[in-house]
Amino acid sequence: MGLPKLVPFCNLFHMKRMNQPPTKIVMSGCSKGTISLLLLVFSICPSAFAQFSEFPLKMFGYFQTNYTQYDQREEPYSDVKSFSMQQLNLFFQKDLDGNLTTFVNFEFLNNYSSGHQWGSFSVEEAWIRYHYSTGLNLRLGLQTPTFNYLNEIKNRTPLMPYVVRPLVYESSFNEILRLEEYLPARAYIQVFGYLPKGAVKLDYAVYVGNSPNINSDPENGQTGVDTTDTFLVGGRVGLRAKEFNLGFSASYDKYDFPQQIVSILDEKDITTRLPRIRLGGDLRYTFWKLGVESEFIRVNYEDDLGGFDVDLRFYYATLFCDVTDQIRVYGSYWLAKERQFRRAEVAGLFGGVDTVTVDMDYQLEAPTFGAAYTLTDKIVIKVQVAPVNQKFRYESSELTHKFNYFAAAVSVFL
Amino acid sequence: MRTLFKHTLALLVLAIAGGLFTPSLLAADSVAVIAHRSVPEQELNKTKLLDIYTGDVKRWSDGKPVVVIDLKPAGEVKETFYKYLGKSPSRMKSVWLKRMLSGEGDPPLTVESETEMVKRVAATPGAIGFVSSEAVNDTVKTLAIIEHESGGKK
Repeated sequence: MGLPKLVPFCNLFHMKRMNQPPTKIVMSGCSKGTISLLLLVFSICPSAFAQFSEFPLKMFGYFQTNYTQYDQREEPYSDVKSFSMQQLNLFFQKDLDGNLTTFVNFEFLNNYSSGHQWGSFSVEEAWIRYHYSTGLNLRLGLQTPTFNYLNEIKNRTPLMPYVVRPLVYESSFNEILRLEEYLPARAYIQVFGYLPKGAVKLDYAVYVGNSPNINSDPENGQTGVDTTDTFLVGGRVGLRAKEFNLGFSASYDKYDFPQQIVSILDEKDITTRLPRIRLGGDLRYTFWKLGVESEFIRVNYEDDLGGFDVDLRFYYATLFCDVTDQIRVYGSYWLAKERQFRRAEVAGLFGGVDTVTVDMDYQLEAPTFGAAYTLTDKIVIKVQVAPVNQKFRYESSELTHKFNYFAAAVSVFL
Repeated sequence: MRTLFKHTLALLVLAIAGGLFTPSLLAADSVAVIAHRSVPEQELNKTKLLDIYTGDVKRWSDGKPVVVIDLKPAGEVKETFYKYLGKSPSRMKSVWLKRMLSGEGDPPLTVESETEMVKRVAATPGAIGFVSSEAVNDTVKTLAIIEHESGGKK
């Protein structure tokens, strides 16, 4: 095989997505009606019933609107400038009694409009929690599992100074990275709490959910919520002492690689239901006006996919400074490494050019700087810049793509 | 665009330099941690107080719910109290916000003045708050005195 010439930006993991507008969803008339009904019911309920209840239904939320600008540092790519309603979340919380709490989280992304088929709407969380003690809580229902520090709060934009969140936590990078594989996204049962030892607290969380994309009837496609013979199990243990936080996370499940990917491999006997172990670590420490926050994630597949290594790595570290009570500035470094399938053109044995599938090293690296200014209790203004570098390596060939990223956003509480 | 990129970076550097050399506010001489008279605890140590104000502890030893009250205006009393806990007011806000947005608890009730704080604590079973020592009267129970100089408590 001759030296391959890499074909840029044709990530086969995402070919299906890339053939469609990334933010497009298709909704039936029934779905639109359901959403309208939900919003109507929840908008009426609080005022109608809250006054009669000892524990009223609470509604709150936030939205983040942003302006982003990509400045390409290389031809032939062109600059991109865009405004966007990045995210809107609506929360409904109700204490049923002193120990039982229910919580629902609706999320609208990327200028959501059912009429235009833009963006997406989802029920991110719908759970009930039983609080027995600080050491024992049980949460049942759809929820984001505890994994590292950011996973549970990745969509709580007002909690973070970032406009663009650290790579694997940023939903808009779905077309660049295999986001859904880095983090456990949903669980249905979780036990959590902390055990105090003086000023030190030992946090723990254990959860169970579905293995994604596993279907007992694969002939009829995958939906992600099918009956499955393999559960997701995972948890986190952590240590807290004053301003020091340290945690380790792990999860185990199985993952069905989409048939689209499997079909491009020449191997005939590929087991696509690969056992997967995710490992994570997180660290937060603040001192005076300074703080550091860091995480790593390693995703290991027990067997390789038809001889192709498909493991993933992610690291980030942020140094921040609370300049005043209102202003936080930060510098951060993000690094994601993947093995990706890509099409490559190689010199054929008998002349001409053949197109083959190769697995190559992919690296996305972004030092980033930004600031968040709390204008009032309800409004946070953010700016962020990042020179982004992408590298694709196969044997001795390397392809790069560099661009600068600038973003400004406002987060508003409802 | 590159100019915009450079200017943003320069502003960030200036903001850090300015903020690091901003002096802290002066703190009050002593602050009293007060509670409703029905609260069973007779005193609170720093760890327990921090657990209550961060929402880690939600109940008193008799099982009744804790009602946390915060002083809204910034000033010496608030500065001394949060300095004693080892948290800045802004960091406490982010702790409360995280709990609220995770469905794990509500932020504290807020009052506009020390006089209102004493009245609200006296009228709310399970309530806890803080005021300057001079503002305390016998309608509430004092659980700790925070001295500014030593950072100690009664």
